[in-house]
Amino acid sequence: MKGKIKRDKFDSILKKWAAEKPLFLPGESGLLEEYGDDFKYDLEKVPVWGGIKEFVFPSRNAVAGKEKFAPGPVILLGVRGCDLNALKGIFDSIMIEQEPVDTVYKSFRDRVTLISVDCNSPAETCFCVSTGGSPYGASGSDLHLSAVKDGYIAEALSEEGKRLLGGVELDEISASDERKYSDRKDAAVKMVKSNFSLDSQKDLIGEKIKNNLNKSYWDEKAKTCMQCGGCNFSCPSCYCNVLNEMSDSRKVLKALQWDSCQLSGYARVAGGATPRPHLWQGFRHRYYCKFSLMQGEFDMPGCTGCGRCIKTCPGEIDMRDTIKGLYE
Amino acid sequence: MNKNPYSPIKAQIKEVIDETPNIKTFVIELEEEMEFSTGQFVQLTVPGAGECPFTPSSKTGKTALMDITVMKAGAATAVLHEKKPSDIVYVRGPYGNGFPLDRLRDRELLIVGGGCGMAPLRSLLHEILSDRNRYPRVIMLYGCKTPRDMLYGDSFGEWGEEFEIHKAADKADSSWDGKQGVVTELFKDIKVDAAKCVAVVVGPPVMMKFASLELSKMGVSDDRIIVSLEKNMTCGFGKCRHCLVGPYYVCKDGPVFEYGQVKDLPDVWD
Repeated sequence: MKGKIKRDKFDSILKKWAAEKPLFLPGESGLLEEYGDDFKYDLEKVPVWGGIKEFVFPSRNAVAGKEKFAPGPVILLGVRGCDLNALKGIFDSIMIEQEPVDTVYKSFRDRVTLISVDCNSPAETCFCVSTGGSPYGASGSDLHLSAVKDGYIAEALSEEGKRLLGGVELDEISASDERKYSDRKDAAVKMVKSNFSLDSQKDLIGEKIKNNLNKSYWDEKAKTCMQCGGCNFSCPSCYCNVLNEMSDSRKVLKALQWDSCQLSGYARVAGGATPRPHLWQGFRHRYYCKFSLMQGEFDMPGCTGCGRCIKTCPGEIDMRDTIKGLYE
Repeated sequence: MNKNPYSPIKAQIKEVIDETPNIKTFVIELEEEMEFSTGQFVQLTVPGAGECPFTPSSKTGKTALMDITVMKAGAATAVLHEKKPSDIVYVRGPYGNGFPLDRLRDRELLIVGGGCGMAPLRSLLHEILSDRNRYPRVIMLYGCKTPRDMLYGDSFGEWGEEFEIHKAADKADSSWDGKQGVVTELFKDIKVDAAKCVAVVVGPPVMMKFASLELSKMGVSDDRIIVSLEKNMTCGFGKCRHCLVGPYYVCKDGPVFEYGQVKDLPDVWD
């Protein structure tokens, strides 16, 4: 099912969807916010802070000690190809496809309906093409929207997507729409490539890292790292977590909480021994994990080129510089 | 319907045995039986203090009773050490691969244990005793810091009747009937067919590293040196990434590995 939603009808459709389930989309803040009256949205701004990770894998939530874990269903609109790749290729793969099934994750995953959009104006930090993605990636989405001059080309990609489009008045897509749409796609890809042009598969970033494990390189690259963990927490592919306890006021529950391999206690064992006692070792591990280990496990790197870690880092560390340096 | 992998089984402490000044064995009774094989581990929750991985030291099989031997090494184990009979803990598992018994049977078996590494080895010794004919010759080398730190001292008499045992203490005293020195010193005292024997080495990382090196020097091939690694196993089933050593998840690909699989991986002995 495919057709054009005219721009003047778009708000009424958002209202209709929001009446069905809470609808979240990028607000003026750049975060996914709940749609409501007089809501001002911005579907162009990237990256969307926080992305969709919090909705499917909350930063801290109970995983044992009660029956039901996920709240009710939601629609997430404005999802990008980079986030979809991480969700499908990394999260679904590790949590659902690999035994044992993480039933708690699955309950959160099953609650989300995903409406993806094209990235027509990628940020200067975007490099999704280098890690195997694209600014108009839609794989794993329920419904995809591509902005054209007077509206959106809408394409249903699942039964849920078809259901959402049911009852929506769709116009014909004109030849001029198709042509302009295709030109915009090409322009977006070109721009993303101009930001960074290594190919994670072809250029074997993981192999480069394995062959460049020396302290001097990584110590130099890590010199402004303050081990805040922001790169991991903002990353749509990172899922490292620790288990601890939380209370729901009646009883103690087992809780799962995001963790960061950049924190000094990450791999520490009882008695204090840690396999990576130095900051540069932990810093290197993040790259080694993403481009070597995860590439091997998931057949894709643990990086979808969203650039959030670059924008987040208070030490102004740019992952692309670290990788480029390995080729110099 | 898939089971929630994070849900633990409630268990009650039945008995607390003081083993050494900083090691205790907790005999626990689970509300549901759990089937585990020797060398596999469980995650034990100390309510309010945290969850830690331990390899049961008791007899394997389907059982509600389990011995968990615990060294006081951190925050959670300090709280656990204060626990008394009838107190409640929680257990989930079992996790990991366990010792490859089919590769240990019908040949000379050299067991090298150090410190709390004796806990999984005790369960292996139980296994061997229950299937005694399949293990023609068992030699055990055991090292501890001081005679007071010797784990399962009461069982050594019984084990000594079945197995060839050599002991070493880093700092011996007049009560000590073994050698003085580190466990690798004991290799000088034994005669094994290095081309055929299998060695199982469990202990602190530095001890496993040097014992494995020593065995290599003796001519034991890397695939016949079996080690059990201890890393930060948080979830136990490959979903949290904490225990990764090179490409291996210690929790599900291990904790038992062939020395050859892991010897050159970064940070493996740290």
